[in-house]
Formats: sequence, structure tokens, C-alpha cells
Amino acid sequence: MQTRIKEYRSRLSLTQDDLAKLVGVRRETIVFLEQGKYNPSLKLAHDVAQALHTKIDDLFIFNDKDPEPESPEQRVVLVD
Amino acid sequence: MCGTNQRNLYRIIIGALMIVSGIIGAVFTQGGSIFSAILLTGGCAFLVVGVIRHHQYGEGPESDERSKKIGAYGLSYAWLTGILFISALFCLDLMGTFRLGAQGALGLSLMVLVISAVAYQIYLFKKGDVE
Repeated sequence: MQTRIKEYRSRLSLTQDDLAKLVGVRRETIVFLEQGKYNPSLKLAHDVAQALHTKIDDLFIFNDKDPEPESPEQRVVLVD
Repeated sequence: MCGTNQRNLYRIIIGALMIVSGIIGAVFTQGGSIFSAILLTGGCAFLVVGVIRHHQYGEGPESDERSKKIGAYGLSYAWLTGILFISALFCLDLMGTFRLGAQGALGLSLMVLVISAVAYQIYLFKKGDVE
């Protein structure tokens, strides 16, 4: 998981401490959130997104797995 | 004391009161009362914890969802470690390989439980999350 919390935080000129106080968590939690090392609860993710005036989807980027290979029947062949 | 978390303020006040009570008790009983020693020790503990936590966290929260989660997981892992240790002690005692008295067994188990809880929590806090 990657996050864009630092980017959005910088836009609003907030320190990690400021954001932590806004959201009601410790500064260390914000540090690990920004590094993508901590998976927040839905409520915390929502609170952080609200504090940064954005949506959860904009802040947290999940690396999706590679799509499964198509079966031969699913392949569409275009012929001129 | 402006900006001190209320809980830490109470710790410092209670610690100071206990220390003062302990000193007064020691003076009046000429150092003969164990109750005074307990008050003094307890008061010092409260005071030190209050000051350290104020220095560490200031006005911010002492715990949040991450610290509660890590705390809970650390205790769970410590419980598991404790169970394995006590089982091992039991097996060794049954086989006659290593025998401890009740005091020794309980003391060791307590140490293993406490040390493992602290160790797991330190590791998980440094790692950032429990996964």
C-alpha cells in the first residue's frame, strides 16, 4: 500500500504533529501511515482524508494483483 | 504546568501528595512504619511516570488505535509464549529433568510473561503494524 498523505499534507502546510492532533492520533501513527507501513482502520482513513480535504481513494493506493491470463475462449480476434 | 495532559497532572499531584504523606508519616513514626515507605515509593512512581509521560506525549493522546492494537497483539503473543514456557516447565518437571519449587516456577513464569510482552510490543512498535 502506498499513500499520498505527505503530498496532501504539504499542500496544506501541515506538519505531522498538526495532522496527528487534527485526527486525534499520535504523531508516530502519522509517520507510519505516510510510509505505508500501517494499515489504518476505515474510520482513521476517513478522518485523515477529511482533515486533508480529500477522499480516501485519493490518499491510499493499493497495488492490485496482476490480472489473471485470459482463456482462449475469452480472446477476441479481429479479422479484416 | 500549562498544556499538561490532565491525566499526567493528576499523576504528578497524587505522586507529590503521597510523597509528602510518606515523609510526614516517617517523621511521626521515626521511620518505623512500613506504610510510610510504601507511600514514598508509590508517590515517587506516580511522579516519575507523570513527568516522563508528559515529556513524551505532552498534550497529545497517550494511546490511539495503533498503540492499542499493538498493545493487544503484544500481550496475546506474550500469553502464548508464557503458555509454551509453563508447558515446557511442566514437562521437564514430569520427566524429573528440571525441578523448581512453586516460588521459582511462578517467579520465572512471571518474568517470561512480562519480558516477552515488552519485547513483542517494542518489536511491533518499531515495525509499525502487526502485519
